[in-house]
Amino acid sequence: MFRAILVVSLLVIPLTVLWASRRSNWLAPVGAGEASTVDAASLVDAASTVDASTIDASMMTAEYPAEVDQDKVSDRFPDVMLTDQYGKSHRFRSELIKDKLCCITFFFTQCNGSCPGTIQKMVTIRQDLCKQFPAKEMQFLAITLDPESDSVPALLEYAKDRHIVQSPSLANWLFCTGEAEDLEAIRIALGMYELDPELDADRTNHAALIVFGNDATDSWTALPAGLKSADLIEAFQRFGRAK
Amino acid sequence: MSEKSKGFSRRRAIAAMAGVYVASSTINEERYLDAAQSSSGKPIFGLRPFTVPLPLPRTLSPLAIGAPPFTPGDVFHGIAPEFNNRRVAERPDLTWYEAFPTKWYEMRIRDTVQEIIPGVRTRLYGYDGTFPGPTIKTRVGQPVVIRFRNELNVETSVHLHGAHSPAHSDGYPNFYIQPGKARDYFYPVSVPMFNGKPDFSESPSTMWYHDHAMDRTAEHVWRGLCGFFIATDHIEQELIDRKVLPTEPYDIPLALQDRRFRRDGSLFYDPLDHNGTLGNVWVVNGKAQPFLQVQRRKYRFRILNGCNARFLELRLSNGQPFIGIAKDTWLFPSAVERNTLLLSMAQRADVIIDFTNAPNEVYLENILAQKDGRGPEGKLDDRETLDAPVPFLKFVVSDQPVRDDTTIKVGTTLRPHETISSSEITQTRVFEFMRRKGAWQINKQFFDPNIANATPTVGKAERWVLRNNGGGWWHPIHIHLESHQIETLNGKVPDVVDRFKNDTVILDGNGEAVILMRFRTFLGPFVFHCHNVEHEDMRMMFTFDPRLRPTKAPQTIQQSFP
Repeated sequence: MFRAILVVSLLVIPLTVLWASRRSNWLAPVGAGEASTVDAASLVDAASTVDASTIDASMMTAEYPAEVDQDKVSDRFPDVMLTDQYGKSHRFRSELIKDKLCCITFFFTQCNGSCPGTIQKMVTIRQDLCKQFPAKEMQFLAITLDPESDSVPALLEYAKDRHIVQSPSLANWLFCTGEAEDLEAIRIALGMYELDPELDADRTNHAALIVFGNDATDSWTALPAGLKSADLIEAFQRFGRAK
Repeated sequence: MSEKSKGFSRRRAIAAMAGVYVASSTINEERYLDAAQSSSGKPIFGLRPFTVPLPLPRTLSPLAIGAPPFTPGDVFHGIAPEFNNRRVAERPDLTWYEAFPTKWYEMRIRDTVQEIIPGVRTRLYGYDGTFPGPTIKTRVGQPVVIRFRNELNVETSVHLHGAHSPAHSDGYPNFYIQPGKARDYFYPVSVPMFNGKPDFSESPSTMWYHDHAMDRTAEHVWRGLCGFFIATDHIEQELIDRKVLPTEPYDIPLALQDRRFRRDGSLFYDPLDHNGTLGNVWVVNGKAQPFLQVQRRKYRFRILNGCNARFLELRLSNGQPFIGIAKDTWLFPSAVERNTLLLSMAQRADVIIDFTNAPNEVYLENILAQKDGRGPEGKLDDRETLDAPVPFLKFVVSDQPVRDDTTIKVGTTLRPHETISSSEITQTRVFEFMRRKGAWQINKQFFDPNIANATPTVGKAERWVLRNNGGGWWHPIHIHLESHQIETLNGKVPDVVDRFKNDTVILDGNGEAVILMRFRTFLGPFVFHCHNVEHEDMRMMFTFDPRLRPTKAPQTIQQSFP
C-alpha cells in the first residue's frame, strides 16, 4: 500500500506544487469577509527568493520513524502468545484483539490493593455492556503482572472464586499469563507503565486502568479503574460505538 | 528570577549555538533540517522548511448582526438560559457589560483534508472544515452566538478559552454536541461588573476556541479542532486608533503546534499514551515550518502554544527581544521587554516584533528541551535549553524601507489593572495535583462531571493553593470562567509577565502557585484542569460551581445541560 501511495505522491507532487504556488492563500478569506481580514498572499512579496518549487519529489523516499509505521492503534500491540485459565493458547493481537470490542486490565491474584476492585468493576461492566453490544464480538482480558506465581490453575481458581465463568450471553473473559517479557511488551503497548523506571518496577504501584477499544473501528481509550462503574460503562459505550 | 536571565540559564547549551547566530545573518538552512528530521535521520516526507507561506485563518463572516437569522436555541442542545435572562435570578447586580448588537454565526465541525506538509494530504477535523478554524473577531460588549453543528460521528464540546461564558456555552466536558446535532453557544464577550461598573481590566483580547469533549479532548485538538477568537475593547481600540499598536494586516495570530505523522500521511495519535503526546513536525497555523514575508516595521503577533503536551520557550534567532503586551487574554498595564517567551500549552503571548533593523532572515524558534510528556528538562527557574533550537517560522524581511508610525515601545501604558487584595478573600482552598496508579488526580480524586468539587459564592473572592505533588511532572493548570492573579509562584512574587491576569499557570516538578480569583459572572459548573490534554483526559480535572449562597463542597452540580 505504501508503494502505491509513493507512486501517487510522485505524480501528484508537481501538480500540488503548482496548486500550492497559486493557492498559497488557501486559508485566506473567502467571499465577503469583514474589511479587517488579512490575506496571507498580500504579505508575500512577489520578488521573494523563496520558491515553493524547491520541494524535491525524490525526497519522498525518505524513511519514517518505526513507531509511526502503522495504520491502527492495535498494529502496535505485540502478537505474542498468551495462555488462558483453561491452559489454552492465543495470540494476543491477531486472535484476542482483532476486530473485537476489548476490555483489558492487568492484575495479579495476590494483589490486595486495586485489583479486587478493578476485577469487580469489570464484572459489572461485562454484564451491562453485553446488553448493548453482541457478546460474541466482545473480549474481556485480565493479564497477570506476576507470571511467576500466577499459574494456569491459580488463574482458574481466581476466576472461579469470583464466579467469572463463560456463558453465551456474556463476553468471553480470559485470565492470561505468558512469558514475562511478552506480558511486559503488552503492558507497555497498552500504556500501563510509569516513565520513572523505579516506580515502574514497584508492583504495588501498578497502573489501575481499564483499556477499552473497538478494534474494528479503531476507537480506543483507557480510564482509571477507580471511576464509578456507571461512568466507565457510559464512556465505554461512547468509545464502543464511535467512528 | 528575572525574565531576562531565565531563558539563558543554561549557558553551556546556548554557547554552542552562539557562533552560528552571531557570525552570520544568513543562517544555514541545512542545519535546520535536523529539527524536522525523523529518528532515522531523514526529513519527514522530504519536508523542506520555509518554502510555503504562513497561512492565515480566514475571518468568519457573521450570518447577521442584530436581528437573529435563526431562532436562538431552536436546536437539539438549545442555548444558555442567560441568553434570555440576562440577570442571575435574585442578584440583579450580577449582570455584564453589553454595548453592541449580537453577531450571529454558524460553524460546522467536520472532517477535512489539508496539507500540513506540502504534498502530503492529511485527514483532519476542522471547525468549518479548516485547521485552524476560522477566526472570530468582535468587540468587547458585542455578544456572539455561534450555532455549532457537529458533523463528526463522535461527541464534541466547544470551549472558548479565556472568556467569561455561561456554563451551557463553556464546553463543560459532557455538555456535548452529539453527532448530527447542534448547540447555540452564547458568548457575551464581556467583562464582569465591579463596584457597579464594568471592569474593563478584564477585557479579553486573544482567546482561542478548542474541543473539550470528555475523554477525547486531546485527540480532537490534535486532529485540528482549534481556532482564534479575538476581541477588542474601547481601550485597546483607542491604542490602535492612536497608532500605538499595529493593526491588520500587521496584527497576526500564530498557532504553534507539534504534530506527528504515520507513513500514509495521516496524523499519528496514540490514545493509550497518557504521558502527553509530542510531535516532531513543527506547525504554524496548520502548515509545517512556513515563512512569512514582512516589512521593516513593527508587527503584532498573538502567539498561542496549541501543543498537546509540549511547553515552548520562544526567541528570535537574531537575539532581538520582543515587546510583550499581553499574556493569555489580558493586556499588561504597560509594555514589557521579553527576551524569550515561555509558554505552557494553551498560554498565549501577545508581542510586538520590530523588524526595522532586523537581518533579512529571522527565525522564531523554540529553545526548550523536553523529552517526554513529563515536561521540560530542569526547573521553572532553571530550564534546560536545546543544543539545536527548533525553528517554527521564518520571517523573510523585505529590503524596502517603509514608514512605520506605530509608537509602541517598552514602558508604553496599555490599560489599568484591578488588583485583588488579600483583604477580599473569604475562602482558601487547596488543590493537590498528583499521579496515582497510571492516571491523574486532584486531591486524590478523579474527575467526575456530576460533582462540584468547589462551590465558591458569587460576588466573593477566594485564594486557591495549587500544589504539584506530581513527582517531577509539570502541569499547566487552566481555570475556566475567571482570570486569576498569582500571589506567589514557588514561594516568590511572580515574574512581571505573570503578575497580572492569567488563565493558565505553570506548576513545575514540585511547584506551588497561590492564586486569587473573583467570582462574579455566571453560575457553574465550570472546570479547571491540567492543560497537558492527555492528563486532562486521564481525569486531572475538577469542577468549581459558583453559587448564589455559601455552600459546602462537594455537591452535585447545580445545573446540567446535556
